[in-house]
This record gives sequence, structure tokens and C-alpha cells, in this order.
Amino acid sequence: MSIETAVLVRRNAWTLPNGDETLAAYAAAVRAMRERDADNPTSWAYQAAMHGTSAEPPEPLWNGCQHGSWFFLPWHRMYVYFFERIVRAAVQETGGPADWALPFWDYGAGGVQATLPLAFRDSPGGDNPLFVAERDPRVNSGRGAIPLSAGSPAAALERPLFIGRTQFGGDVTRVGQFWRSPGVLEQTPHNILHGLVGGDDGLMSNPLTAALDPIFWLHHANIDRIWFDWAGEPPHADPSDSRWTDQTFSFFDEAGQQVQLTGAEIGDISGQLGYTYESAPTSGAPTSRPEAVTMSTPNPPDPEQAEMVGASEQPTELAGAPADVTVPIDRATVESLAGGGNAPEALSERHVYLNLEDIEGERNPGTAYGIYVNLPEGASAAQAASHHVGNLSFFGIEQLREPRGDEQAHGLRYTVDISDLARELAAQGSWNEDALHVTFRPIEPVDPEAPEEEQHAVPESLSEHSPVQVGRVSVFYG
Amino acid sequence: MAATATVGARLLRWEARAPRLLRRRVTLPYELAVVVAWVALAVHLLADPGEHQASGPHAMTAPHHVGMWAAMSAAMMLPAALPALAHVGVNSLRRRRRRAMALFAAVYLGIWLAFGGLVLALSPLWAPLDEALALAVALGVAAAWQLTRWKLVALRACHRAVPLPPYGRRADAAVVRFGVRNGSACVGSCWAAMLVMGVASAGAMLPAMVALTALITTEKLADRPRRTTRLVALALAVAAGVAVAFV
Repeated sequence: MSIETAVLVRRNAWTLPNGDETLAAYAAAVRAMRERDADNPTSWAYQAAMHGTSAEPPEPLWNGCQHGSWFFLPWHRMYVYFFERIVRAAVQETGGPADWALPFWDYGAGGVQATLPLAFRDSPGGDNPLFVAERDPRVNSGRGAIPLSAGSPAAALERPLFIGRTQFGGDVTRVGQFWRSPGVLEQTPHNILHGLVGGDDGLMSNPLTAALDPIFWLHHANIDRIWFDWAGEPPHADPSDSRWTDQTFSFFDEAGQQVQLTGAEIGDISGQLGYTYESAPTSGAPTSRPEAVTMSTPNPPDPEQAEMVGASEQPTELAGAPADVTVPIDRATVESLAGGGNAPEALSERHVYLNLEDIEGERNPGTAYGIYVNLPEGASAAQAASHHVGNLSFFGIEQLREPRGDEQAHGLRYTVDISDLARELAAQGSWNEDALHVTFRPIEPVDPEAPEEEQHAVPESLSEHSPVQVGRVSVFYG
Repeated sequence: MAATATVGARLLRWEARAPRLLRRRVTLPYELAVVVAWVALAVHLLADPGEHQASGPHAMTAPHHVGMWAAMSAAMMLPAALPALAHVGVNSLRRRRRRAMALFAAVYLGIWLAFGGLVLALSPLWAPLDEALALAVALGVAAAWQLTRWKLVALRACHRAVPLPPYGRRADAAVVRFGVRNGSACVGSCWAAMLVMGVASAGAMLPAMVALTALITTEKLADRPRRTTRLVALALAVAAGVAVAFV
């Protein structure tokens, strides 16, 4: 079977067999691509700039990344696919294997796999092309691992639908670099991982520099793999809407020629794109609330059509320490919903959405925050896990005020469907109809040996970072 | 009560499937207000154009036209502000919704009225000029403004929101702040285009209103603002060229 017709296999970077050449070949190809002229579309810098760059004037196809949108997954699948073809050609030029395929970093598997793969760390000679100094030093040295609450895709894999702000793949938007309707997968683990690896001011923390870090591509191969696994699990389905299937995006192939793909041309990765992932299922890290009673309706209401029932009085500033905010629920509004309003009266039939709105900051501090609802005072780390509803990342926050691409400005907004937790708390008699208490806890790299429950603990050493403001926390019933 | 809730649930399900245009919209009263403003202006301008001609060479110089500027602001500028109004409505508690939206609309239109006052105060500057020349200059200025960096900054600022607390004076103050910020950004983005209305004669007013409203609204709602502002600049420049031909 020739290479042209074989299905190439993307493998786990942490479990490659001894003597495997995949990562050494990648390193050689990265070195070769860095030596190419910057205006060569197959050069390292040009490929990274296609995601984002502050360089002026923009060359063709620069600043094309899609975030906060239902186009996040397809655009990045195409981007990684053509990048892989460019690297494979470079691998062959440098004498590497002809069936080279991009490996993935399965940080969600926990343990040692949650640490940066060895090939990306500093080498004694100091000339490792896969190492960059601009990462969080704890992650870069292997001392710090990605916590499971941030690296696990479990919450995303549980979502029944692709389209929707609280669903797997994000809500309907037009083409643009930064919208504000990410899906669950884009937020966790995608966005969180960017900040944890990049840290304060590292390459991965900013979309304009992220793709300059060689680990970026293994991260996105992993995100693509999670999508592949989700889509292969009936009844999950990718969008059939023609605005998604017919949307064309342009890239460069290994010959430096512009090429296009549409959403309809990438759903079957082995049949249409000629690659697949090794057979191990997506790391099935347990959900933070394994006992959760899932009562989500198959077709949940659009959060846009839900009714606001409460909001915080003042903005919350996040600067490295835990923070709390109380959201008073307006009883008169809740009672009026029973009269034919926008939400069912009974909690069991209701969807409860937590919105974090008007999030503003100068830059992504790298630190992300776990979001906890009605966390009891003095709760243990294990208790905290059962109140964890999602994570808040600030990846891309620099672009919202003054986008590089041709798009409008807007604040960051994040919506979490907390219906299941609300029902659980109600069943335990601890759901308060008059107020919701929301806690933000910073997420930092953890000791790779720490048990999962402890990974929800407040980090022992808190580092202050440039402040980010959450303008309002609100609750909507749908 | 249960029957009402069932009807409500059915309505909700229907709305979820219905095209966006047919769903209940919090901005419906303001959409109707825009229609009323357009009808009133059209009737007024078409019924007695001589009244405006009599008041001077350029229509916006007479004090009695303050009311007309108010109607014009509502007709031309409210369509572009509907997303911001919807933002205020959806993000306010139901029992405060009307109040919050009315407050926002009042502040937003108040800023446009203040700008109108400024235009009226400055109108003697161009009153002696030939009508077509004044129009050509205004259109040329508007086209040039479209191509500046400040224009894009202002247009993008139109899309930014402020946090809206739920209750009391703090809620009102936030809505006022949002109205000021949004209205100021909108004036910053569209002042030059609206200057054209300040120099347009009675005969040119209605077509100019229609054309500028289309351009302003398209630009405000555009997904690709840079490209759209350039296309609008081109349209304004062509219009300026046509006006020059009449000088």
C-alpha cells in the first residue's frame, strides 16, 4: 500500500515505542521550517501567523484563526491537517519517515501524561527545536502537571449537541477570529491549556504567538482527536447546516499553493483527509461530579431565549486569589415565569444558565479559574469537585477590544449550563431559590503525583497577576 | 395557571423553531417607533416641501426643525441601536425592562439631539455657500472620515457593553453610562454622515435619509467593519462627485 492511499495514524506523544522517530523527525522539520524565508507560506513563522500575528502588513491568509464560534473545530482541523502535510514533506526532506503523522498530547489522561512530553523540554545542549523558554516554568520543567479539572475533556464529551453556547462545538457565528460563543470543548480543555502552558506572557497564552510554540500543534491534534471521538459516539452529529458544511477556509499546502476545504469535506478524517488516531479511546478521566444525575433534555432551549432571574451587583476582579460573588435571585421574576414566561416553573424541567459577562482585561494572565457554585465554606477539595461547573479562561482577551482581523469588538462572555448541579443541590435540600453563590478558584499546574480530588484545592502558593474583571455574573432560566 | 403555563411552554417551543424575525422581540416597540418616525418624516417632507425651502437655502437652519432632527435621529439612528437596546432588555429583570430600555433610548437619542443642536448652531458657516457645493463638501468629509483609524475605533466601540447591575439606582446609572458610551461612540462613528443631513436641502432630504440610514445600519451591523467602512466611503465619494457636477 502506498503512502498516498494509506491512512496515517496520529499517536500519543507519551506512549510512542522506544526508538520511535516521530518526535525527532518533528524537531528536524521544525528546525528546517524555521530556516525558510519568512514570506514562504511553508515556513514556521508564516504558518504561525496564519493563526495570528501582530506583524504588519499582513500577508495572505494571516490572522485567520476562528475562536468563540462553531467554526473553531473545523478551521483548526484544516489548519493542523495542512500543517501536518507541510511538516511531513519537511520530514522527508530531512531523511525522516514518509508516513510521518503529527502526534498528540493527551494531557487529560492525568499522571505523567499531564506533564509536558519530554521531547519538548530543555535539552543539555540547549539546541532543542521543540523547546521554547516562553512557557510557564513549572510546566516547561515537568514539575507542574495540567490538573485534571482543566485537562479532562469529560464535560465536553457529555454534551449531546454540537451547536450551542453550552454544547460541544460552539454556537452559530459568522466567520471571524474571536466571537463570544465558544463550545464546551473550546473552553475546557482548549483555552485553559493555552494559558497553563503559556503562563504569564508565554507564547501559548496569546493567539498571536501561540502557534510559534511546537507544542501548540500537539495540543490541537488532541483537541481534534477529542472531536473525532465525540463525533463517533452515536447519536452525536456534526452540523448539517449549510452555513457550516459549505463554509470554505483557505490554507497553504506543502507546495506553498493555496488550497480550500469546506466543513463537508472534513467530517470523515480517514476517508476524506487520510489520517486517524490510534485506537485508544479518549482519556476517560472521570467527571468532576461522577454522581451527577443527568436530566438534560435532548434539545435544550437556546440560552439566548432564556430569562434573566438574577445578577451580581458589582464587578468581580480576579488577580490571582480566589474570589466570591453572590447573585441574588429575583423571586418576583421567578414567580412570574410560571405565568407563561420563558422558563418552566419546576426546577426539574428548567435549564439554569450561569453567565459570566463583560469580561475585560489587558492581557491573558495565563491563570485560569475553576468556577464553583454554592461551595460550602471550608469545603474539602473532594467536596469542591462536586460543586465544579466549569473553567474560565482568558485566552484571546487581548483581541476583543482591538481585533487583528476585520471584525467588531466585544467583551468576553461565557455561559455554563448548571442545570444538573441545581437539581442535585435541590435534591439535597441545599438549593437556595433566593441567591446563588459563585466562587472562582485559580487553576495552577499541580504536582503530577497529586490525587484528582486534591486538584480542586486552592493552590498553596498564589501568584498575583494583571487583573481581569468579570463585569457581571448572572443567572438565566430557560 | 397550569393551562397558561402550557400555552407558554408551547409558545416557547414554537419560538425556538421560528425564524428569528418572527420571534417575540424585546425591541418591538422601538421598531414600531422607527416606522412611525419614518412615516411622519415622509409625510411632512412630501406634503409641504415649500415650507423647508422658505426657511432658507439649507433645510436644517431653522429652529423649528429641532423636532424634525429628533424624528430624524429616531428614524435613522435607532435601527442601528436595536442590538444595544435588545442587550439592555434581555439583561434587565423583566419588571425593570421597559424602564431600562426607555432610559437607554432617551440617553442615546439625547446625544444625537445634542449633536443636532451643534449642527444647527454651526449652520451659518455653510449657509452662504452654494447648496450643491456644501453638499459635496459634506459628502467628501464623510467619505474621508470613513477611511480614518478613528472611524474604525469608534465603530468598534459601538459594540462594547457595560455591566448592568439588576436593581435600583445602580442599575439606572449603568444603563445611563451604557447609553452615553454607546451614543458617543455612535456619534463618533457617524457624525460626518449626519453632517450631510445638516446641509441637505428639502428636496434632497428624504433620499439622503434613506441612503444614509441604509449605509449607517449596514456598517453598524456588519461582520467585517473595515471592508464595509471602505465600501461606504466609496459610496459617499461617488455621491460627492455627483453633487460636484451640480455646482
